[in-house]
Amino acid sequence: MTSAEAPVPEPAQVPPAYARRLNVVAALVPLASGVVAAIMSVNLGIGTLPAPGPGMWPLIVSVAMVVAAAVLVLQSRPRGDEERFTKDVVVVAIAAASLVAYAFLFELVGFEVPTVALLVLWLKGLGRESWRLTAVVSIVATAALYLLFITALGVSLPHIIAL
Amino acid sequence: MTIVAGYVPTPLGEAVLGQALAEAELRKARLVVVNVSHPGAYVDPGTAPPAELQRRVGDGHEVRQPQDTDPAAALLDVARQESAELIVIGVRRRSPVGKLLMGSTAQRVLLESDCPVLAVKDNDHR
Amino acid sequence: MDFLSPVIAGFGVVFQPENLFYCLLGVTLGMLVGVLPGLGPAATIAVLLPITYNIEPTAAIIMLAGIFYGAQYGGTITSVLLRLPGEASSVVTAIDGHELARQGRAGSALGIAAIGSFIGGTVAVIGLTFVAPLVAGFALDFGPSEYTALALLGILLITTLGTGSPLKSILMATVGLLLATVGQDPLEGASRLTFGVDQLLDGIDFVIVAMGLFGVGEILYNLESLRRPAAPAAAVGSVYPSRAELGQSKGAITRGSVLGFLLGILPGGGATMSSMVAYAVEKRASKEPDRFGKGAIEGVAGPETANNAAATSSFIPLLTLGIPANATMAIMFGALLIQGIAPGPMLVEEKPDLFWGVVNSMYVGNLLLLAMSMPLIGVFVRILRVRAAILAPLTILVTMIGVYTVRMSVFDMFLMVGLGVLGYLMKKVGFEPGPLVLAFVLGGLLESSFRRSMRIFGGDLTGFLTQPITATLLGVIVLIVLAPPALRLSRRNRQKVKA
Repeated sequence: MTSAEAPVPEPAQVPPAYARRLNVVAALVPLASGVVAAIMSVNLGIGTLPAPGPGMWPLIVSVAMVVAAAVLVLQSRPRGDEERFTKDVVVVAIAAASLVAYAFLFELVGFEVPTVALLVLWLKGLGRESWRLTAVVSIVATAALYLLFITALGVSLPHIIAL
Repeated sequence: MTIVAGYVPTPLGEAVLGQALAEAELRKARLVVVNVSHPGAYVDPGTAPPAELQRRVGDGHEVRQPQDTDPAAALLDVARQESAELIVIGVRRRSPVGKLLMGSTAQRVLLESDCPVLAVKDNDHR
Repeated sequence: MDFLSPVIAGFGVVFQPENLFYCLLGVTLGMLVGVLPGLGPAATIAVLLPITYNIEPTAAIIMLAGIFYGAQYGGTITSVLLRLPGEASSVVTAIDGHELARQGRAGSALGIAAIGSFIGGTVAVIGLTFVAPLVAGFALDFGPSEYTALALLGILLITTLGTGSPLKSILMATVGLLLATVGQDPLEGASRLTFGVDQLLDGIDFVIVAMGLFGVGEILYNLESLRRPAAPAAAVGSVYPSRAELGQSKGAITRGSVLGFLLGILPGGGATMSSMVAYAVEKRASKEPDRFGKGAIEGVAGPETANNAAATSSFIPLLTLGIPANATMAIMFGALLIQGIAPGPMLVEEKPDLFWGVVNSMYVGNLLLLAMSMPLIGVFVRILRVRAAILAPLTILVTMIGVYTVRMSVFDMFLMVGLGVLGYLMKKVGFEPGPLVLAFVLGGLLESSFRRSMRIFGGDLTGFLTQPITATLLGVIVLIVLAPPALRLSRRNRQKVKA
């Protein structure tokens, strides 16, 4: 019986050089942010130890962050939890962009139209589900969200359909 | 000489498999059993356990489990690749309204196939 | 007994029909969402958090606790059936649990897990009832310096005992601490690191961080496997374990309960560590250790009992010290704050109804879990048939609309999506969100208690060492930092000697 063999294939082995590069880049971002935060903290005023200014604590934290990031740059050996970026990144990027657009439209035109649009995009565009299923799920889900948030929980979401 | 059969783990699918094995025996043909697996979920009830299916289909015949959201297209693809002489599929009895709502994999295979199609009916489950 | 009267009064709170309903709702929702392998207990609670806003505090926390156990058990289901653990604490369950499933005994494995979880959870609640007031009483004398050391210890333990690389976890913890400083200075009101954005003046809401990193981040990450190949539906079989299986598991459940309770109190690992230790203990205690890995029922019973017991006892540091022990408890902490409850040593005294209501609801939650999981297992398994392409937009919409309802602010939606993208990227490069979220939650406490201590000690850092409890805690911290490198060194030396 091999019927229930793990359905998800193990993530393809990431080449060590790739994982190493990934770790370096991933450490450089907090390193740079830490430096910026440290400078901003100094500008806030550090004060003295008995009377710390608003900048002291953020300074301590950002220095710790810079140190940790710097150590990671130096010790960038792969740790087995790095993953390769494949062309699936495009799907994630489209999804994230659609969420930004959703938030942008939310208060402008009410929640119904963007909700249906988001569902159609994710179901048909990203998921390649059939048109029939897309239509049914989009409309039913939007109605269910309306009932959950507006009718049951009494939240005043911007909406155009009044019940 | 190849026969292609569309299989799903349901009573209708079993009827298709039985008929397809009988046809293969009769025509001395090789049978390719296609079980289309719908990707995306963790579990798909339409996917048959591969080892068990292969055992039932027997040596000399083949089992394929393409990952596809469109079963009709996947079945027709295999039939074209194998230059099949016959496709065996199952058809369910449905009311006119049911047909309108459900759209039919069987109908697409019937209309788009390049070779004869043998439609097996599910006589136990009207 | 005087001490027991508020405990008994707490049962009165639990058995109010409304609270029972929310407990049931929480367990059900937790199981439904938790069964999705992408969403562990932390993410499940994060996504469902906004739904609890409009509920009265006690009911809301009871519901969240229910979501927590439900999600915990949901992870077991996928662990056994698909060898896909929903969260780190059921990783070891997958070893023997999935082997049992391949032998057609998935039902037995899930049944014994439910029974073990129930017993472990119940034992841990009884333990909690007696230990929590003691800890709270002890902690009443804690001043800022003790809290500084405790918060530091909590952050450090999750980075070292967690599942990821310690260095990466420490880096994430500093990011969390830095994010916590955004907004107005708690003591002087200067705006810090806000980049002139007015909406950031109040700081970043914890809910947005949790929902962004855990909820949106996980959903975006799972989008990569939209076309994951599906497995054939496996038969679950009877969920009622046989007498023989129960007999085999008796010892494992007993040991798992005690072990889980004790390890759960420690900050840091909690459920994950206890399940791993329990598995190792069972293997060692067994007369036939060869059966492990080949479908030993004790290999499911031990860890599953232990992780539920630990999950329950990890409420102790949260409710009595105000220090969450792990990422899931960090989200609970955030949820309590939203309800206007500050967890800490005063909670037992000041809000006994709430405290004992929540604690006693755990008995009911565990019982409901047992009662529902066995007959309804088939229903929860069906969720696994729903395709990711359908689930993803539904969960994301609940999250998006949910975050909006917190403050009726579109800005929060943008912020959450941004944090979600960050969470996705972190997951890709092997950074865990847990330490970040925990550090973010403890950041405010750590800063204010550090600054107050500095004022008390007149700026003298050695002042921390003059306080006995603080000094002890700091000693533990030094030990934790120094122990792994020292061990590594001594091992290397020993190897040299051998060579």
